[in-house]
Amino acid sequence: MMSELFTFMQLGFRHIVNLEAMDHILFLLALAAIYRPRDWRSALWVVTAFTVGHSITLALAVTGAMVLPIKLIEFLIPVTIVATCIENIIVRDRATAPLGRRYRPMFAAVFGLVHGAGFADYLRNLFVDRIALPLFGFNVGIELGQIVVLAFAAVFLLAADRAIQYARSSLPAPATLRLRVLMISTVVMVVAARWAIERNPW
Amino acid sequence: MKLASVTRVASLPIALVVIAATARSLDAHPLHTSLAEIVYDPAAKEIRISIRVFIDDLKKASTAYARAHKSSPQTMFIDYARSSFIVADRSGHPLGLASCGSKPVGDLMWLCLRAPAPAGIAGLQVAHRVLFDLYADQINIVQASYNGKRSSVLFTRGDGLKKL
Repeated sequence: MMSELFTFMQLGFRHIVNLEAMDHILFLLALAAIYRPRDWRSALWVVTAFTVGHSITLALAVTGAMVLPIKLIEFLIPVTIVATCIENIIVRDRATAPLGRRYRPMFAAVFGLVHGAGFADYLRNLFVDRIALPLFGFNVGIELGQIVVLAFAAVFLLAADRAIQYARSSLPAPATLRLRVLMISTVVMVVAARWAIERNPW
Repeated sequence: MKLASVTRVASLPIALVVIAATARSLDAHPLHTSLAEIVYDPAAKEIRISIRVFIDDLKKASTAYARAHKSSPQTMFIDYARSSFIVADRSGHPLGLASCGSKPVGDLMWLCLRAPAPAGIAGLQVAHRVLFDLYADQINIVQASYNGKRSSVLFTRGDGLKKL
């Protein structure tokens, strides 16, 4: 049983820690872009909420409880990245947003529902019997992979802050953060918008 | 407006267009995985292997294999599976795998292979290399059931034989 659990954890981990998973990685970068190093708990909470969201869709789709139009889902995945980037740019005071501190984990979980549907089709076909343990292991692996991606994203964001401070040394810390959010969100949004256009199902 | 200001205002949209144009196209991120199950038939004293492969991928890989090895269209799926799924005994000698048929199930093809194994599954070594020639990120899993236990082994490109 442990070897089965560990095998499917590896499958989930490798699925995310992989350059072919760039849509997933950019989504995580967009989610993390607004946080400072001291906000790491909030970032982890948002990423975990995202995992919970895609675990739910994955379980529903793999067990056959829900059938999803895969072309539409593949289009919606980059759309969620664009939406996250727009949220990063537009919303400046999240403390007063609806749902308060729970607002960002909630929307990460909702977008997670879409991302989980993206690979549910592959798993449903493969695991026609005994799906509980493989599915659990796969989701744990995805979560561990996301934590690794989040750690790389944190290093990248710190480097971006240093580069901004080097270029404009007079900027105060809040302005540096704002500029970082604007730059990263805009670039990620443009790339994801291109993918959305390419995957347009209509 | 001064030239420097015009340049600054124009540089952002130009940069974004360049980023959009040069960004790599990205297909949806598929899960390139094939699952194989091995069970032991004590009456026949043989192992039976069921390999699940997406039909589209199997067609691509086995067509290339058939072209290179002059395999016939009727047997190319099984011929390809026999070339890329290896079972070896404790000392590393490959077992001869025979076909026990194939059937489409949804988007998958289930390929059946069998081999005599008088000593059972314990100690056997396997390598599941199906579709490694097609995708660099292919990950294959072998699951074996024997003596009431289940064992799973994961394979990525470059992996050799692994003990069950």
